[in-house]
Amino acid sequence: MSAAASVSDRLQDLIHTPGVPAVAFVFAFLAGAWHAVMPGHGKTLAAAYLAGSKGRVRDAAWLGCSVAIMHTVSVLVIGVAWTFLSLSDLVRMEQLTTALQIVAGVLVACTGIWMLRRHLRGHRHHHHHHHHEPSKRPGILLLGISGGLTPSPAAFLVLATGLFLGRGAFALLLVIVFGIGMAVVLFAVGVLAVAGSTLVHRSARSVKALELASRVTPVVAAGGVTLFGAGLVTVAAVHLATVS
Amino acid sequence: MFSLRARAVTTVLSAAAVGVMLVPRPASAHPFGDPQTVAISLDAQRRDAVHVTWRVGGPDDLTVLGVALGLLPEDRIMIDGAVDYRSTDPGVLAKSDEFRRYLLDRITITSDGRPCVGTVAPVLSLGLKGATADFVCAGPVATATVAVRMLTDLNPAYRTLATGPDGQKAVYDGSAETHDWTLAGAPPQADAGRGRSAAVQLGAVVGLILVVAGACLLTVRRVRRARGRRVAA
Repeated sequence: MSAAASVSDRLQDLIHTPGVPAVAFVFAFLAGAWHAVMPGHGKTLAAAYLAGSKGRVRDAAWLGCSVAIMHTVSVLVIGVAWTFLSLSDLVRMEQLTTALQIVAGVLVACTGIWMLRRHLRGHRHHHHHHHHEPSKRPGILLLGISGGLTPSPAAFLVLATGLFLGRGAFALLLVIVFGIGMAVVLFAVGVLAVAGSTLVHRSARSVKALELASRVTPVVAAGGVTLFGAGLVTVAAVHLATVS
Repeated sequence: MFSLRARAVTTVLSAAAVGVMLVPRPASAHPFGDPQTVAISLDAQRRDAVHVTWRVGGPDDLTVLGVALGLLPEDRIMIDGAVDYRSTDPGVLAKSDEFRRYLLDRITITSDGRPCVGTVAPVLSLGLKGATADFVCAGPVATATVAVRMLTDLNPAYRTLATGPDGQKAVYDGSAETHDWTLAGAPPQADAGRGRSAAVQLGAVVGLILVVAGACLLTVRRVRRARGRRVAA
């Protein structure tokens, strides 16, 4: 926690430093990566999703990209509204981020339901293992969007400070690099999940067990993702009730 | 019998679910959470009176301050730094003389080289609306030097984002504790234009990104179409 605090602190200091120091981007990247390593952002969820749906490396890349883009957009919109449109008069930041967490949870639950439906439908005209794989992209994009929806306080602070100092472009570039740091970590987690599931798949001893697994895993994964989303919504709703 | 893979996925999912339920959300890291703000304005009627409204960033910053002022028990801050915020905390601070003294100690104004005398207006809702310090200066105020050092004694990393009349903006931190504000008449161009300049910069960066993304998309599409034609031929 102290390492994260000092990286974030250095980042805030660098916003004040005149010029555009390259080291600021390094810190922004590290802060983003560290933020993604911390609990949240549906890493476990995405890993389970990729493992459960036989994802590929390309899907992991989609996950990283969608989280980074969503996080940048979220920080940008909230930062601009907070600085120029007196957003803080309408709603406290804590309430806003908690509300966003509810939305993120709903998105996750929707993904789970979508997975379940797809699986049940796919089963009806399921021939054999080598049928055409349906796209995983909508699910992965939904998970990515939910992972990047809630702005990181450090990134928000960088943008707000930058706007107050009249250095909007520099601050936004730092936020983008922060998002790229997050994306790299999530991409790595996704690749590990894909590699792990492929490895287990290959080394499974009995064909029967494998067949059972490929039938059961998607259901378990879809049910798990749905429950997880419902859990996120519940936790955030309880939190919102206590802060408002 | 479940296969290894199914078991692994089940384990991962259940661990995740348990994790979400059991692990408390880390409190918004202090002082890296929502920034505290001050709004500086001249009184509408009196030319010699200046108002400064301070608003806390995260509500648990008030708990940290309450503990530091001796108004709240020390065990409200855990060893790991987590803060046990309670909804009654802002009220405890708002009613106390210690908080008023602290506010007037950490926010000071000088105009024409002479300090202005501050009082704290009754605090109605410290958590939501913040607290306002009213300063009366020796004569009509055109420009004032406002010092803001809120919470930096607790942790030097705290920052305050300040707004003034005509879109003036400034950032207070450990290295910049005072700023000059133009409270009557037109502010110097550099101060007034800051926010606008930042907005223009944002627009430029976003526009540039959209143009680059659009160009990439077009290129990819063209390459694909060309490839498709080659395959067809």
